[in-house]
Amino acid sequence: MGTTDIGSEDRIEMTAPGGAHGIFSGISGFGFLIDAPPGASIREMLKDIIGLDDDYIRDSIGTILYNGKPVDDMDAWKIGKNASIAVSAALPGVFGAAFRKQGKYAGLRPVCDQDNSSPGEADPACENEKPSVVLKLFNQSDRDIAPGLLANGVRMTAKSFCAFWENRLRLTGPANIRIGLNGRPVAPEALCRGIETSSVLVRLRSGDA
Amino acid sequence: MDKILRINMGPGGEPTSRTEAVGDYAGLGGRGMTSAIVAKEVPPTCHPLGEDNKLVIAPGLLGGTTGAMSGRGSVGCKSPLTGGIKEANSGGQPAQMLGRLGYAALVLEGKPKDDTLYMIRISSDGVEIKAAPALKMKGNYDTVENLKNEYGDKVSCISIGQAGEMKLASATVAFTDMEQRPARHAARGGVGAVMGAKGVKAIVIDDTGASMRSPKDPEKFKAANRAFVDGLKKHPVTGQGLPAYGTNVLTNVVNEAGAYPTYNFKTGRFDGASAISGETQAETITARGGKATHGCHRGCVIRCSGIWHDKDGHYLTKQPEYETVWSHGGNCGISDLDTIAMLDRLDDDYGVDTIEMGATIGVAMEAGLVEFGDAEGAINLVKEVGKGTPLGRILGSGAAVTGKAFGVERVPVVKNQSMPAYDPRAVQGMGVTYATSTMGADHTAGYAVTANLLGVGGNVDPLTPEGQVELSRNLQYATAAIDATGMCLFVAFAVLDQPETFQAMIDMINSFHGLELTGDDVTALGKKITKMERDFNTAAGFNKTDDRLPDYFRKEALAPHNVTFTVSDDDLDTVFSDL
Repeated sequence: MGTTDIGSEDRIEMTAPGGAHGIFSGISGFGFLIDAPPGASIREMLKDIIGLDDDYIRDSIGTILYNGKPVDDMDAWKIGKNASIAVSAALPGVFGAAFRKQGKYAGLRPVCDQDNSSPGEADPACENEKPSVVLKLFNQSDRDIAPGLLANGVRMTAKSFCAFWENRLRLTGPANIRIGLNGRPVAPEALCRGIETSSVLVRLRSGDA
Repeated sequence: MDKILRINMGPGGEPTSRTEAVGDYAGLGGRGMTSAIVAKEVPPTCHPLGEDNKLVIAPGLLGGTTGAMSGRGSVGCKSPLTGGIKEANSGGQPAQMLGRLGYAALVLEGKPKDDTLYMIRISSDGVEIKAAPALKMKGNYDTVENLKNEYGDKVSCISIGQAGEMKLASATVAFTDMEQRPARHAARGGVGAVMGAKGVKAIVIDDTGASMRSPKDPEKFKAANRAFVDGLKKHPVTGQGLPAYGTNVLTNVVNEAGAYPTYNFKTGRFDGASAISGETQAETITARGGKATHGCHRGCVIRCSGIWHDKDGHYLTKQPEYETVWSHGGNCGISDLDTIAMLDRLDDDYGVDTIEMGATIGVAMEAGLVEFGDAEGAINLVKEVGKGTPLGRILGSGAAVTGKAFGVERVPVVKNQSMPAYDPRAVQGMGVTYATSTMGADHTAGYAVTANLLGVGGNVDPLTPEGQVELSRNLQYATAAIDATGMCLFVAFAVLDQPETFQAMIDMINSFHGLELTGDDVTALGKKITKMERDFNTAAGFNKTDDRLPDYFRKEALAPHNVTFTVSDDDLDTVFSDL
């Protein structure tokens, strides 16, 4: 998996025993910013940038959405500016069947061709920064892929990170975790107030809290 | 299961019971049984709350056995919400116990002479019916606690809350779960109002001394059951996604696809979806000491349910399902899981359908009673239902009535029943099922995705409009058949993807009953059930204009993909042209 270079963003470092992903469960659903070369196919991004292998892509990914549209051929769909790509394992129900990649029940949803005019999900505030794809990992894909990305450090918009973090604090509290912002310790409740940049680099480390 | 228990609530002034042979209804279970009895014995034009309607409760064909996933119970009647035939089913323990006691169905008939409220106890010793004034206007939780104190913690209970007693059209029938909590519900269509109209507050089922039902061929049944369980466990949906995240695994993806009805079906995306997603929910449950993986009845191996604790670590409700999280969440602009869990608890306690209630609150928000996103306002509106205030009785009567009372045009119902959590503009095939289902708008009506395996209607191209209609029809037949087995519809994915799992399911039925059913026979059963239901609805006054979505789904484009519902009325009219 590629490591994101540390740039001008505020840097958030979380330290948890064993690098526990639990408290970050679902964070990637709020959107990671991934640097991906424009024009790359979705498969190329998943393999070359995210580091997934062919077997995982074939067997463990049930649904891919590009700007919200179901993707059947991930080689044909090319990544455009401000794209949003969502990855999910197999899903239940008629919806799961209809939106499964190359599923035989695709007739239950509209036929989709790639249309780059559909807006992506990137925060407009970030448009002048690094070209990024918003990557959302759902359910088992989050469990399988997000820990590696977080260990290496992953970018998020400050808005998305704080939406995740404040919801988590409200529901469960900070749990057993130590937090640093730009190298300085910070209280969980004060973290988002201390962020000054529009995107942040989030890294999860293993260690004593 | 060779007998039917009939309880007449009003002949000569006192309730009486009688047990009779299953007779013409032999070989039926679950929805097959409830719809057959209602279709044959209930006058289609009767008043749903009158003496001629009947409330039928039936285990599935494999109810009371050791068969995995077979514990769902069906509740059927003429619906006070839709005016048509209704089957709603539930997990929990009661259906298994009824099956073990040998009952293929329990039928509540007639009408009590006055407003006396009764409870019924069914055991190996017989049937006891007695007045239960102490339970009057109690919620389901208090009701079950009272019954537990009197009959012990081994019995299961079927009950109604205040909504059922008030005969509100969104009232449910609650089934207790493995922990003896009234958290599982036959929820749709106002079946609880019919139980209330019969004057029955609760039914206690005590299977002490009863044994598991025995298969005709025990070895074959055991082998088929093992193969079926193996198939469920190895499939990524039933072995991984559903156990880990529950049905709420769908929130993030449906939202991302732009199919998540938000702000009373105004748009297809909700900004707060990730905050109420299955991923967030599962982590919260685990952190608070609840259970993120839990079966709703014994014999469930998928275990997509869960137990939600409040911030202090105390039980509040079961893990709210995807539909509940949507209806009270994104549909109302609420992005707080604790609020949604509280609404789920109130719904279960008062005994109202969480889909109908959430959709109704959305309509009330559109009418301006409270603002979208007002969590406290939503809780207060639901509490009005429990208190039985005039406003509460309007809300408890469902979205259609509420829309009329407050002059709202945008009311997402078909046959007066609220749509579930998939916008039909973004999932067009779902819209076909919403429109044409005998039940009113119902996502489970076309849930069993087994059409290709069952081979109904030949091979069609699903990418054509004809194919979409064909798919919806096949799904509705397949679902009706699965509903007759008492199996949970979530088996559908493993059955769809793994032919050996489908065969194992058929083998379970055959080896248990000594039958030689094929896939075609199962299909024929689903078609027969659907025809009975369509015929009942036609006799009740339904016609093709009832098989429509509200106009605004064709006129208002749904963001972010700007799609409308495009399946033509002519195509909708062909869905059941083969019946």
